[in-house]
Amino acid sequence: MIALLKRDLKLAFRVGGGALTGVLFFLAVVTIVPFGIGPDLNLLAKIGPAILWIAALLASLLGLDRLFQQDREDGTLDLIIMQPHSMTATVFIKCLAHWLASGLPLILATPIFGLFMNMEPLAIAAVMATLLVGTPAITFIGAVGAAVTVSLPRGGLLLAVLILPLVIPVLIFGVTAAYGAVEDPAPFTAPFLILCALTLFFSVLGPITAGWVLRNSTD
Amino acid sequence: MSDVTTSTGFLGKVWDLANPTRFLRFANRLIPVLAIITALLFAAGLYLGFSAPQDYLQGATVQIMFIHVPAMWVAMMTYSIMSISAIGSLVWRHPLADVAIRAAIPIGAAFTFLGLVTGSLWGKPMWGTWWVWDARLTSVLILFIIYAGLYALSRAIDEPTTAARSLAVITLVGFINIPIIKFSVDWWNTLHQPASISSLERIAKPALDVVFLYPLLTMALAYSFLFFTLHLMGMRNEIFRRRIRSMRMLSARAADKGA
Amino acid sequence: MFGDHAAFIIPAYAITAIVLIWLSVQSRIQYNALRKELKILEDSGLGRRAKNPATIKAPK
Repeated sequence: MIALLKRDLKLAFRVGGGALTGVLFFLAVVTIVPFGIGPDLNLLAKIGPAILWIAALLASLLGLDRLFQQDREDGTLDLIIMQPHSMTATVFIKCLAHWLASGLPLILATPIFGLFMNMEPLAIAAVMATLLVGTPAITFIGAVGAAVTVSLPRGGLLLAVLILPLVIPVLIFGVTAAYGAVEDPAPFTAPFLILCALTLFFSVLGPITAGWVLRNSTD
Repeated sequence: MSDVTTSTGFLGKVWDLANPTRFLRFANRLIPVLAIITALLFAAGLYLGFSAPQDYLQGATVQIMFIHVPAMWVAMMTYSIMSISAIGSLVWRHPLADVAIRAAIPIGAAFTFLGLVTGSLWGKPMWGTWWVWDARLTSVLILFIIYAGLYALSRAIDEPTTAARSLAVITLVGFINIPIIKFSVDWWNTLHQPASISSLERIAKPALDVVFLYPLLTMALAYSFLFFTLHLMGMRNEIFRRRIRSMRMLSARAADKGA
Repeated sequence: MFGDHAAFIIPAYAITAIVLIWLSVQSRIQYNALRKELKILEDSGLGRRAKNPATIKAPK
């Protein structure tokens, strides 16, 4: 299991791996927003948390279709399916590796993008905390979509369409919690805890379902 | 369907229908009957609806309710039927359950679409706007996106068993998610929408008078029967499509051997 | 008949009628097309349980 984690991480950080591309995509989306709505710094500060969340959501969807596809192309997937370990655990590890390689860099890059958005330090910290808790949920639920679309040549777009409605709750509570930290009357703890619960729930549901689909996809 | 609990004979009969040939015979006999019932119910519902008096609050737009509310009910019923079929497909590998999911998707999407459009046409004269980001409307929009995604998936996978498994899994994951989505949208809504909506809500669901209730229920029945008719027709088409596919593969294999 | 709101009621009924009729009609058209195709395949000796696959000839 550790070996699988190491292998996946090494592949991701290699040149051409998805890790850097995700951050660049994140940067591109954040940069585009002021062109769309104008460079009003007050407005940007107000919608900053939402923009960062949406950009992070899109960036984490971007690489998801490669989660199992690469392994399928070079035959590793068949080996993984044949090995005696639990498929759920394997998928969990693969999700973890994917998140470490593509989710974590996004979170580390958030402070810089937060400055572009003219956000206060507290707001940036809140967005980082919610992203840290929330983005794994996107990866876990996305694993189901990735498992289903693994054999499709152009599964990436389809994956996004299938998964986006399912991650709306994550987005809602992530953004709500981020605003809750900044705006006074709004609560922070409640949405933040619900976000944690969502991530835990999906970390069970996602790997079990995705593992089942993968095991049954090749027979 | 009332005797599900009373007899194992009913389940046994459902099991017998697993044989596609027997199902086709059953469908061929049932579809014309259902179609006639649907037509009669629509005639009755439309007659009752158009002869209903105007509502003192909504005026003539109450007419839109008779086609809007049943569309929404059937859209939700369709998703429930798909989820049950998904369980049947995953647990028992019931071949008809696969067919049922696939055939239900475009119908469910169409009813959701109609619910959204008629709701919008009802909202404009009543609320003064085509669309509000109200919890219920938003949830329905998300339901429509789920249907659209499932439809795209069902078009993308050729191989019937893979397609069936994928569709069943995504349908069920969606079904598990529906309460979460509903809850989160409600939360989001109470945060963003102050009291303005609650007054709209009251207009949207007044205590229904009997003069409106009867046409509404008749139309709901008509919509349900239309769904069952279309669903059986779609399942029949899907079975044919599978047969043609397997025959083509057989002939391709034969041609291969001959060459 | 519908007062001021005819502009909303009539389109609502119209689009419902169009979509529902289209659903039924295209399902029916597909049914006929599929049945015809199946008939051609069956006539070319491709029974569902053809006795001897070797005798099957590929349809055009």
